[in-house]
Amino acid sequence: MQQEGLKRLSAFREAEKRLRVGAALSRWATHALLLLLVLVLLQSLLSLPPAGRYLLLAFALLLLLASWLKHVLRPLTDLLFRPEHPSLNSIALRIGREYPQLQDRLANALQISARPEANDVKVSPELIEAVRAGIPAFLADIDLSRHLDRAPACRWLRRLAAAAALFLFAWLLFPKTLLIGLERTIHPRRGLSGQLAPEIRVEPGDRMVVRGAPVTIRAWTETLMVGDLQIAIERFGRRELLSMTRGMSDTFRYAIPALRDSLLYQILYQKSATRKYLLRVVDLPMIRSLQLSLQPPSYSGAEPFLLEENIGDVSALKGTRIEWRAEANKPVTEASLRFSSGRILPLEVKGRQLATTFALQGEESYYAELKDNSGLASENPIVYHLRLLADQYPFVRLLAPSGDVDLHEDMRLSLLIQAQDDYGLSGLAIGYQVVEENQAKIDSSRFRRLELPLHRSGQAIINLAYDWDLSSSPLLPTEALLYYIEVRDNDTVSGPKSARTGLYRARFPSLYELYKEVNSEQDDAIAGLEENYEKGLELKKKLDEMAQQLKRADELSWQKKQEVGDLLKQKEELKQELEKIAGNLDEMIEKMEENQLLSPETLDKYQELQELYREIMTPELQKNLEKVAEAMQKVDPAQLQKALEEFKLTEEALNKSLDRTLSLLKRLRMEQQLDQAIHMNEDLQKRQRELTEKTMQSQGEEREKLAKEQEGLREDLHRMEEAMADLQQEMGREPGMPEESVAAAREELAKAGLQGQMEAMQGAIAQGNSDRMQSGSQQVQAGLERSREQLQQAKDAMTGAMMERAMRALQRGTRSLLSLSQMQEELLRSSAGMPQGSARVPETAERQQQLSSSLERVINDLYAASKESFGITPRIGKALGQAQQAMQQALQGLENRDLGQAGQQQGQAMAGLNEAVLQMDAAMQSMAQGQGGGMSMGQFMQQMQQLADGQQGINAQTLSLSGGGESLSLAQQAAMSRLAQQQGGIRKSMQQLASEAAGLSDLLGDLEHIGRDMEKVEKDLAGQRVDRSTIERQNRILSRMLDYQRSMRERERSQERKAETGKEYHPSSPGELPGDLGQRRDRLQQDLLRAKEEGYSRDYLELIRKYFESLGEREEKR
Amino acid sequence: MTKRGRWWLLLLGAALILPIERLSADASEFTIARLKYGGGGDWYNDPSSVPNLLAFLRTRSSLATAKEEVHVSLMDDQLFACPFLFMTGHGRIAFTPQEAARLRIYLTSGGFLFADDDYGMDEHFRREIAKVLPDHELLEVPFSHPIFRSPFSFPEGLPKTHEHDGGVPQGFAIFHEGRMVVFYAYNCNISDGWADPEVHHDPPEVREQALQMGMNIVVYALTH
Repeated sequence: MQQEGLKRLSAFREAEKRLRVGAALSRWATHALLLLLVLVLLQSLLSLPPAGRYLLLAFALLLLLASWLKHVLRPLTDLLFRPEHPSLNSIALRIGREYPQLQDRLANALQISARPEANDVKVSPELIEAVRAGIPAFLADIDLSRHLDRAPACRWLRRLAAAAALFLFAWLLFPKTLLIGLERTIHPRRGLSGQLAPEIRVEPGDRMVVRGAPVTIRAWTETLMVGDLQIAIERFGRRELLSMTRGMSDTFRYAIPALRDSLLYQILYQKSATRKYLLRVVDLPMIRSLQLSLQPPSYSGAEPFLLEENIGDVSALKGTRIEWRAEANKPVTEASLRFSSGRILPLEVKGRQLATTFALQGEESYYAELKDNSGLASENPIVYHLRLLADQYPFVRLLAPSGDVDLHEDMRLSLLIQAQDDYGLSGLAIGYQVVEENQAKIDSSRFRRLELPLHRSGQAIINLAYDWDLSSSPLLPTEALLYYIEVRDNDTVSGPKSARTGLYRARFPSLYELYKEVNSEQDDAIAGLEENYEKGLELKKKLDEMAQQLKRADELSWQKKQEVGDLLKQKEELKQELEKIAGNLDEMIEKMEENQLLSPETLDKYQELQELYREIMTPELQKNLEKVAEAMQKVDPAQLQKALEEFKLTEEALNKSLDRTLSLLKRLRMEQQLDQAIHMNEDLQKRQRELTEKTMQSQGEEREKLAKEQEGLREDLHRMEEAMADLQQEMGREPGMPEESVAAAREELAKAGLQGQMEAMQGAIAQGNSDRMQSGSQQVQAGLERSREQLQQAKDAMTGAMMERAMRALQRGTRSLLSLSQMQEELLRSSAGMPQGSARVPETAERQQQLSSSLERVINDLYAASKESFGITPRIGKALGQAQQAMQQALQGLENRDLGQAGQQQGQAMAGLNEAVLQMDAAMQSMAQGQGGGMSMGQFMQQMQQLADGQQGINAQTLSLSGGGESLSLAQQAAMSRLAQQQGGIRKSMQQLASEAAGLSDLLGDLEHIGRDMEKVEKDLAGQRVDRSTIERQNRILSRMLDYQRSMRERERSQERKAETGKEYHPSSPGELPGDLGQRRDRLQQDLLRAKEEGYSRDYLELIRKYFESLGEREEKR
Repeated sequence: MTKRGRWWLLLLGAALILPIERLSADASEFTIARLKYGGGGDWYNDPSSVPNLLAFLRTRSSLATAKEEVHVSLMDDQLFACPFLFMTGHGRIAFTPQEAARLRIYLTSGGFLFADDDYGMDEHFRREIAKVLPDHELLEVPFSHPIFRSPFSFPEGLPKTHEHDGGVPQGFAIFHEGRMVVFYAYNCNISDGWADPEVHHDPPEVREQALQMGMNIVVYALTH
């Protein structure tokens, strides 16, 4: 038992000693590691010479040894060589101190149990034995391992681990540096042998470098170096020695930021040097200059152009040809353009020149890729962009007409088209179809196209005035033409783009609708004028009353003022109504003119009426109105009365003018209705003729439509008959109207039984009986023509009678006025030398009064005549008015015995009378000229009409003789020969007419064609060879003769539109401008000049000259 | 040059420049106003003529011109914004009293009217213009007048563009307080010569002359 206790203590001692050794070794190892690290670093960084390195190494070793001796030697010796140290006793004491119950009892027991000879004290063996036996008991409850001091060992172990970690970390961070340091530590003398060159490594050595690229030359060695490296650079024959920069791990660098030229280099170290290396500068292939030439697509009309040099971006129209040319910096062997779309376009290569051509098709980018003969490829190419310029859609609009319109009689639609495109237009067309008037559903597939002529394709803006002749279109009255304008641009690359206007409608109103409309407007105008006239009369009556009342009033009461104000207001309203009627009248006349509803003569009369009407609204009327208003403001009854008197006079004149206008308008309406009837008749004839022609050429399915058309003609005939009946009735109400002729015209229609004829023709068309149709048509046309002649006679009679009456009134008036003028002159002469108080003054006044009364009678007579003729002009009325006023004032002067004033006014009266005579003479001449001499257009057309009538007769007889192919009897053969002679007669008359009217129109050339046809017909008739072609030719002759009349009439109306390029003239300059530049001219001189311009006869001019001279002298004397 | 001479030259230059300056300040582009008159005449005749003259002015002078003409009637508010009024036609013209008064104000306040007889307008124009300026006479303009001299020289007066009735062309004018306010071209129809070539098929030299004369009239109207 005792042995076991001792063993435990001994084991404790061993463990304790080992711990001490472990701690010491850890401590030493820590020191060694740190020392090694510091040493290696110092060796590496300090680059000490070998002696220094040895010294440092020795110092480090000494330190290591010292640390060993100090910390490791003793514990290790104790462990290895001193097993009883420390003694168990000392250990027992140390443990006993830890346990109060134990204290030194364990130590004591150990001492007692030790060998007795070792003790001085005598102890019994039993005791010794007992103590020995008790030792384990002391240690029984004690865990000795708890008393082992492990802390130092653990602490140093941790430190060792930290040092090792530090060491490793340093190695990881600076492996090269530490290796060098280690190398120098291990081999302090290495590197001093002089064997440097083979050990130096150089980068990049020999190398090709792209010009301008950065280069870094590095040099290093595996062995240790003392001192720096140098680099020797040779270029352009010069050698340059430069220091290299030392970097980490003894690597030396020399950087060239951009190498421009080739060079040789070598690394020098002390007296040694590497071989020479070559850095050869090479150029990468690249584009040096670029030139693009663009050829826009031909439709754009743009010229080819060059882009600025080195501009590779392109913005152009699709389809533009791009000629791409470039020059490379060096010869290349291979080149291409690479597009962002993936397309690769090889370039044509000739040395340094590169070229290709391609078309711009879309938006993309591209760059050029080049390769030279050494395989070097271009780098970092410039990317260029291709962009498309948009080619906009074209634009078209219809400037006129601005909306839906009614077609006029001439069946022409004047279109004013504006179209434009950014690069030009290639086509302009009208799309159209005929639709029923109220047809709502439009079948777009039925539109037909009419290409319009473009002067030049490719124009960017077109303003086209197109006069669309619809006369040959199958448009019937009350049908409408639906049309639009379409324009196409000239884009030939992507295909022409088109644009179109909205749909417009041109309606073809029937003649009867137009007449109805115009008649209704005319009725409104007449009613308006009548109402205005009535109101005017009433107003005048009120003015009379007002003037009477004012004569009796001393002052102007508020009530009176109010009444006058009301009158003025009423007048103003009447004036406005008159202006409105004037506007309506203008519109109506314009419409009639456009639709050619009137004969030129009636139209002229309407225009004169317009003038007359305009002159109703004289400036005097406005002035007098203002005067009345002014007098009212001043509250002066006398002044107001005077103003009202003047106003009354103006109002009276206005009422008279209105009365005359109204009367003329009513007569004109009658004349116009006659025109309408004639026009309707001609229209029916024309349509019947056309329908017959169409029927002759028609196929089965068309007949139904044509029969319907025939029915329409019959309805229109009925309308015409109704219009003629109305006209006859109206004429019956007015005296001197050719009612009988109109009745005769109606009778002709009834006699011919046209309604029945037309009905029968309708059936003939449906059955396809063309012969029946043709003969019926001729009978209808003949009947219509006879009726038309009667109407024409009625018109001639009407206008002739009116003119005759006016002429007679003017002649009568001229005679009377000349006589009055003479008497006035005598009176002036007799009163000129009369003394103030002469007893002959009253007698003179009486004679003046008689003269004045006579003048009034003449005026009344002329006024009555003026109601049915425009020949009596307002100028005549004005001159007579002046004469009358002057006579009144002369009479007043004589009554007041103011002979000076009387004489002056008598002179004025004379002047007025003479002026009136001059005006009346001019009016008569004008009327006489209207009846004309020589061959006028009217006569020409009249003769042509007669020839056409003759031709019509021949045609009808020829048809009846043709007899369906049977052989002709002798009588028929004789009749045929007669017809041939008649045809020859008409042909000769036609030639005669053409030669007589040679200067009348350049259309006469067309007559030659008719002549040739007539000749052929003549031969057919003479040779008894009448067949279908003869009949057709005859119809064509008649049709042309009638068309010719029509075209002549239209030409007469539109002659002003003829434009012929001017010939050369060499005029002489008029004289210099007068000093006053025409602004203030002597009125008398002006009047004389005007008289000259009006072309009076020499006698008259002499008379006028003297008259003006005398007036001038009088003015001067005054 | 004397000191006085220099002053006159300066004033002349200012007189020439100021109206153009005023124009460019009032409206960026000069245009010609076509007069829409009543009476039934075709005031709208030859729609391509004025745009062509404007184009000619633009290319042959430094005048900034519009591409299109404008249409004004005498009662339009815009009338007084138009420095140059042009009328033509074949037929009737009728001014109401109010229209005549307005045209009188326009002309006497600085406006200019160029009338070109396209055959058939003469009688109506003379009658109506007499209503407008009753105290002013329509005088035939001698060939020495500046309107025939600058910028293009027409030593024989108006060029004959279209024949119509034949006879020598004549230019008439009305002056108000020394200034030409109306220029009336008779028997020559120069505005037909301004129209697109396909309209009347006039030879290029005839059109060129017509356009040159048109430019003379415009330049004269704007600088006097």
